[in-house]
Formats: sequence, structure tokens, C-alpha cells
Amino acid sequence: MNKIRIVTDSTADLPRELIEKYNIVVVPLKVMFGQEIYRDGVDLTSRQFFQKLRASSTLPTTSQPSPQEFLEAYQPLVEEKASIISIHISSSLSGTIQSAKLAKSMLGYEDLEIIDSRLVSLALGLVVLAAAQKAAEGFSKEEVREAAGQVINNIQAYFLVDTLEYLQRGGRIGKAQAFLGSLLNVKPICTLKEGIIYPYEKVRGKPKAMERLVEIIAEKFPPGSHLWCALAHGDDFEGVEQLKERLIKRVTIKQLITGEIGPVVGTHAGPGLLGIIVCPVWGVS
Amino acid sequence: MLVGAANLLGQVRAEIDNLNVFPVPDGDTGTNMYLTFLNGVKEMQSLNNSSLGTVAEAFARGCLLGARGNSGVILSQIVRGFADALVGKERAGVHELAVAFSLGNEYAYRAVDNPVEGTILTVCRAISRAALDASSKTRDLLRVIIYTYRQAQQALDHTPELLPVLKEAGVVDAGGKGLVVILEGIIKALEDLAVKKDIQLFELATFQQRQFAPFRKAKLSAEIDYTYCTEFVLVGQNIPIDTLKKELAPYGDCLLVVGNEKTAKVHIHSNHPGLVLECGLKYGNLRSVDINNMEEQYLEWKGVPAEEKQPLGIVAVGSGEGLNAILESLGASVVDGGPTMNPSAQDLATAIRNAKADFVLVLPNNGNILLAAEQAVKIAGRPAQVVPSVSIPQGIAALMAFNPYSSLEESIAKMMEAIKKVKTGEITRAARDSHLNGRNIREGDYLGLVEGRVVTCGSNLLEVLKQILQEMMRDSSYLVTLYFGGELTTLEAESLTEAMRKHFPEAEFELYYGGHPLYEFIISVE
Repeated sequence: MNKIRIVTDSTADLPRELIEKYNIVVVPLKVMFGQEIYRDGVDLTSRQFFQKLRASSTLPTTSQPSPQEFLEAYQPLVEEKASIISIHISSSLSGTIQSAKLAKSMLGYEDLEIIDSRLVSLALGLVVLAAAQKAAEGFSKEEVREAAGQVINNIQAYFLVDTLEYLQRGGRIGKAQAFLGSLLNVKPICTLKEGIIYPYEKVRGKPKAMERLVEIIAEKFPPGSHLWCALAHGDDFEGVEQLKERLIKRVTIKQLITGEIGPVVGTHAGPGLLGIIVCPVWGVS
Repeated sequence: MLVGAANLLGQVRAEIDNLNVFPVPDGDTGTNMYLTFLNGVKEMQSLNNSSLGTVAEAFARGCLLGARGNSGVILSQIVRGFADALVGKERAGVHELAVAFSLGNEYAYRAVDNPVEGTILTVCRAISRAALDASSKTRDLLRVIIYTYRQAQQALDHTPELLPVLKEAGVVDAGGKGLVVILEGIIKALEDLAVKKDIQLFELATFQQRQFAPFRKAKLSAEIDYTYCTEFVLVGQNIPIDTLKKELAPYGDCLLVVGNEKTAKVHIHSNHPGLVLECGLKYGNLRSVDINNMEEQYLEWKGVPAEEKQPLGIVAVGSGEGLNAILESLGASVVDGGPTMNPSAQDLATAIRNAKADFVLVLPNNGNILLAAEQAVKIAGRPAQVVPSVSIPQGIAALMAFNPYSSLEESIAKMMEAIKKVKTGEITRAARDSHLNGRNIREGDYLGLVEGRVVTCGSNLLEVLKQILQEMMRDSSYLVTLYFGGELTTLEAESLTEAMRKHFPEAEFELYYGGHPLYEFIISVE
């Protein structure tokens, strides 16, 4: 049986240790500050990004990887004759999958499967991780694919942002547009649904919004459920720690990953994002 | 594999084109070489998805079997050498290519008993040398082949100097010419491939633009200079790309033109898509025409729903520009109550009818408007329901809980829950002297009301405010929102709020301009 290799893009926001542990190939998107172009997570870290964001007068923009870059990422795996599973950011949020598909057609390599996660950030990250873990445990390609599919179907993500402006300016606000422009110090809680961003609840004030985030998770998952959890934040280490403390008091967490969103996701979400991503655990070893 | 196959396929495509119009200066050299080559191609095409080495081998075999005439045989030897150098290889870079050309050259010389300069052999040698030379300087396949081609051309032009009969006849060596044409064909094919890639990248760029660019218009004053995103493919014989670019430039902006003289793809934002298409028509036939009205897309983005409806909509009654703005910002269509803060059933019904939603909820925000709201729902003639909020704070709390994508039942339930949780307070001035609940009220005194009942009064606004807040914050509450209006100035409102912050340090205070008549403060405590 061929070795299985997992590929994803930098919007998965996976922590470095996990990328290295599972030998995941990450294709970076790009962030542009004016004329300066940075590869997400490679030329610019999250810390550097948020510092730059604060100092910059213009807003950064982002762009997807080119088909050529995917080609270069796939090439060594093709030479290894690996079974490639390439899992990426929702096609409704980025054209990244298009580039991957073009690269596949240019390569002409059969054993390469491209999966549109319909998710982003650590939600995508958990899907990638599930696949990588299964692959590392020696499961077959079909089983790895199925595991990824199960996570995609069962994962839930809720997050708050300081302001919806970043999402709006970048064009990824989706249906959360309905929550735009609230004048009352509203912290909108949004969710990922059908591959785009949906509004979930308006809460006044960040402390209350953080409380609500945890409550929502407790509401959605009955007591006794075992959860796989990821906590995402944008330039708010304190906030994410508070979130973690409150969350572990309310639900049983089997595996917890905390990560800061990268420059590309940061460009669209803005600083101050706090998010909880949860997936019920089933029969994972 | 990619490189090699493209290479050979390129030889095929271009070869067939070019040798067809081959000027035959020396008997049927051209035809012979063409047919030899063609046989090689046929043999190669019968394979399906093979490695470079195998493909080259098949090609060589075909050429050998199909070799016609002197030049054909020599060509087949060149090809043989080429293929032998690539045996067992999966991919070939410029270095491997140069080696292959070299070996081809060697075989060619070996094949002839008496090699004569000024013939196909000379050109072949030039090719081999040039390839080796170029491959040491660059890894770019196209550049290597172009350089090789140029050197081959030069060598070809030189053949009359080497072979007097050629000079006499005033021609170059036919066999040599054949080789040069082959190289030309390869270049054309590689360029076509590059154009194909260009077009793919182009599609990518415009896909991104189409998906996200309309949203990226940070210009809040909705000015779109050019309305129609116009794209089409032009297919023709001699499309002048640069001329086309110049001619299209005045019609709009964001112009992108990629392609070559046979196929071009055009993208432009213009107000005259028809003229743009006409311009293209001068040079070829139009395919895959796509015209999009970006203004429509933009309006959708701005939240003015172009055609899009939300499943749930809200009509709310407000009063005062500040309050109305807040209600609107929370997603409601606002009906202003006017000076009496009471709209008519007709006003409400109109608002209900205008809402772009499948189902409309109505927030009266005042006990006196409840009946009018019920009436409006009856006469509106579309699915609607009143959510009985009796004050602005209740209305705002309900709007906070409102999500246009929730189900109807869930929305109403959440809104009712929010209404129950919020406390409403109001401060107004007494219109005349009176006596209420054992208190003496003088005209101009401030009255503090909670849920509509007078709980305190006095001549000092700060004191009244303090008292009413004390009354409202009996159980541990947390967020106090003050909306100021009536006769109050911003400065007064701010200083009063500061005083309250000092007096109630555990609570959080937010102050907003309401601009409503009659009430100095409308207070919400959650």
C-alpha cells in the first residue's frame, strides 16, 4: 500500500508542532501589504502580522496560491508515489481549490484527491489533523478520506470578532452581513455553515459574548459528550485563555488545540477574534 | 514526462502544419522528411500514457520504419540517437535534451559514409552544439530551444558557402531546412502550451475578481465607474493582441488580454459591452461571451437587497434620529412615530408590505401602539406577526436576539425571552402640577418611571437618575444603557453618565444619543 501524504493550505492555522509531527505539506497563501508580498506563515508569522496591522495605514489583501505552487508542492509527493489527500479552505471563501485542481490536471497524477472542506482556520485544521492521525495509524486511503468526511459533517464552529468590518472589506462576510453596522457595542457571534459565514447571535460587550460562546457549546453538545476541540484567537492570548478555562469547566474535552489565526485569516477576521471549534469524538483510538 | 511529451507532441503539431507548406527546393526532401516524421508520430500516438523514454522509443521506431529518401533516413537516425539518449528516463530537463541532440548528431554522421558539410549534417551539428551551449546557461526549456533554433537557422543560411551547388542554385540545403522547421514547430507548440497556461491563470484571476472584487469596493459612496464586467474568447487567424489592447483601452478599465494570434481571451469593465464585442469581432469570432452587471452585484453587497429576500424581516417603531439609526443598524425597517411617537396602522401596514422578507415581525415598542400594530398586521395582506414589545429597550433587546436566518418559532421565542430579561426606565418632565402616589409633583419636575410606573420624582435630574437606577438595579445587573433625548445636551448627558459610573462601580454604562422627544432618558438595564 502506498504511503498516504496529507496536504493543506496555510488557512488551516495549524500549530507548527503538529505540522511537523505528521509531516503535513502546507501550501501558503499570500498576504500583501501594499507592494510587499508575504507567504502566509512562511515569510510572516501571526505575531509579526498583527504588529504590522497595527502599524499600517493601509489594509492588507490576500491571494490564493498559484497552480504552479501547488505543482511544486505535489511534485515530491508524486515522486514518492504517495497517495495524496489534499484538504483545503472552503471554495466559497477562496479560489485555492481551483488552483489545486488546475495543478492536478497539469500533473496528470491519478492518486491525488482534493477535498473542499467547506471550512476555514482551525475548523479546517481539525479535519486535516483527523486525516493525518488516521494516516499515521496506518489506515487505508478510503478510511482516511472517510474520517475527514465525518469531521466535516459533524464539526461546529462559533466565533466572535471585534468588528465585522474586516470581513466586509475582504468580501468574505457572507450572510453575516445581516449583523453589520450595529451601533450598540455589539459583538457578533458568527458560525460557519454551508461553506460561508452565517450570523448566529448578537451580544453586547465582549465579556458577555465570551460567556455566550461557551454557553452555546454547552447547549449544543449534551453533557457526557466527548469533544475534540480547537480554540482560535487573533491577537488575544488572554481572551483565549479565559475561554479555555471556562470551557473545560462546562464540557469534557478529549483533545484540545489552541492556535492563533495566521496572517491570511487575520486579514479577513481582524484582531480580537475568539473562536471555539468542536467535533464530537467517536471511536478514535 | 510533461516536458518530453509536450516536446514531441509539439513536433507533431507544428510539423504537420509547417511541412505541409514546405517549399521543396530539392526534389521531395520535404515530403520525405514529413512522411518519415509522421510515421514516427503515428507510432507514438498509439501509446497511451507512457514514460518519456518509451514515447521517444516509439517515435524513433516509427521514424525508422517510415524513413523515406536520403533525408528521411538521416532524420530517422537523428531521432534514433535522440531516443537512445532518453531510454528509461521519466523526465528530461534541458541538460538531458542537449545530450539527446548530441547523440542524434553522432548517429546522423555515422549513418553517412561520406559526410559532406553544407548539408543536413551541418545544421544537425550546429543544433547539437547550440543545445549544449544553451543548457549550460539556462534551465528554461523554451529559451534553450529558441537559442538552438537561431543557431540552426544561421548554420542553414551558411550552407551555400559550404556547398557550391547550393550557392549556384541560390538555395539553402533542403534537409537542413527540414531540421530548422522541426525546431520551429517545437517552439510553436511550447508557446501554445504557455498560452494555455496563461489562459488558465487568467481564468483564475478573473474568477477571483468575479467572486470577491465587487465586495472589495471600499468606496462607500456607491460609485461604480464601469458597470459591465465583459469577458469573451476570440478565435481567429491573425489576432493583433497589442492593437486589440490599444483599441479596447478607452472603453473601460481592468483590461486583461492574453493569448496569441489564434486565440485570445479578453476581460474588461466597461459601460459599452456591445462596442467591446464589436471591436473583438473585427479580428475573429466570439466564443464564451460573459457579461455581468457589477452594479447589481454591488448593491447586493451593500445590503440593499437587489432581488434577495431574507426569510425573516422586522419592522420596528422608533422615534428620534439616534434611536432610529440604532434600530436600523440592528436590522429593522423603522417606522417613525412622529411627534406623538405614535404611527398609524396605515403607516405600519405600508412598512410591512415593503419589507423584503418572506415573513415580517412587528415591534411596536410602545404600549399605545400595540393595537395599531395588530391592526396593521391584519390589513397588510402578507404573513406578519406582532412581537409585543412595549418600550424601546424591549424592542432593542428583541432586535439583539433577532437572526434573520433562524426559524420563525425560534426567533419569536428568543425575542420574547430577551424582552422579559430587560428592564425599562424613563425620565421625563412633569407637564403640570399634580399629586401621585402620595407625592407632590410640580410642573417641570423630573419624573422617574420604571416599566411605566412613576417611582420617583424631584427637581434635580442627577438625583432622580440615581434613584431610578437604584430601583432598577436591585438584583445584580450588569449593563446599563442610557439613551438621551428631550432637552438634554450631549455634555449634560455625558457628565450625568460619568456621575452614575462613579456611583455604581459594579455596573457597566453605555450612553447613546436617542434624539427622541419628551424623555430626557430612556434607560435599559440588563
